[in-house]
Amino acid sequence: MGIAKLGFLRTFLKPETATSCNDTLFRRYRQTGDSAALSALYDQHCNNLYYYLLVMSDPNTAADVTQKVWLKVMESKRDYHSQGRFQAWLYTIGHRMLIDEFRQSNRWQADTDPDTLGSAAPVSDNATDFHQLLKHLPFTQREAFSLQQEGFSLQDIASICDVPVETVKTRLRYARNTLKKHWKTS
Amino acid sequence: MNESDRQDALQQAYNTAKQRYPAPGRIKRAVINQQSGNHQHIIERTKAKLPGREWLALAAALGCLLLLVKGAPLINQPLPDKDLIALEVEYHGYQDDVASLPDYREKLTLYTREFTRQLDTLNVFYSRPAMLASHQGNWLFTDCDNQSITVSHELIDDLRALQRVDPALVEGTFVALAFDKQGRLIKIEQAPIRSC
Repeated sequence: MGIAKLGFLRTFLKPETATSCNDTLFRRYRQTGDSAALSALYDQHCNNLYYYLLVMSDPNTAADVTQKVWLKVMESKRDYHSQGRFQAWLYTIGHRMLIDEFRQSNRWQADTDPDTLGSAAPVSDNATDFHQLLKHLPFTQREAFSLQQEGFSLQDIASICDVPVETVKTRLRYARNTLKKHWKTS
Repeated sequence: MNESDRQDALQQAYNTAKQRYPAPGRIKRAVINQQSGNHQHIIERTKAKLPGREWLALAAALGCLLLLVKGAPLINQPLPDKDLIALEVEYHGYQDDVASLPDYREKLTLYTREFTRQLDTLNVFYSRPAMLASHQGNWLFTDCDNQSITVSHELIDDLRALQRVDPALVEGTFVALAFDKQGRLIKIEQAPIRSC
């Protein structure tokens, strides 16, 4: 019964509703400093943001950067004015903080340079672990693909990664081709 | 398998993988603790504001009174002879270095000049309020006189590497552009209030 109800709700929960819910929660948090509103926002986005950062780095870095992103959200709550774009703002902070983290720890390599397309690391055909398969993609392709799976439009991804839309399209095409080639569906 | 089915399979595989790696619970605890701490701090600060001010004013007034009553005779009173401390200044120098003194001075002047020049680069000479209009490729700012300021992508990357660009900037954010003495852009940070 519970599952049936959830399924019913999901059918009618449109993306705009979720977006407006994000903004309502964030507005409430900004105006009153209400911990419950922040907690609800966190619950809504934390696993997605963490997994995006995990795909782009390692567990320790992903956890550190996730925490820093939320602290930055709390610190900069007065500066958010883009109505309906809370999630994009959150991921933009995540993207920039991750790159700062790489630069600070001198882990910024050619593959992680957003201006280079990079080529996929060698991977066996018919991979069975999708997470590991994602890790074989070059940094920029992995990021574009992950953001698309998180529901962002091409324009959003371009804005988060600070690159033109055409570049995003190319990265996505390369990423999907590699994944389709090696991913073995059961 | 057609194209749409393949897309769905990739989406499903991504979501399945995501479920295997949930965010550690300690992150939420740390974030909520920080938030509760901030909130509590603001409440306490507001509550304690007025009584604190009154006590401070009272203490300052008492201090002034004590200084006027007790302090004035002490200031003009000479110290007794036995309390005087004998001071002797002895000059230390190196005879051997005298020959190379001009060279040393020249080097020191050069170092000092270089140091001052580098310090000037770090020091904000003036700040200019503006609004971030676009951050696609080259960044575009609009200042209070509606003039456009374009900052190249390469410079933004350099400033980011030096942690001199606030990572939370989005289009429409009011910023303070900091310049050094030579008019070079050295920092972009969020303006605390709407500046124009």
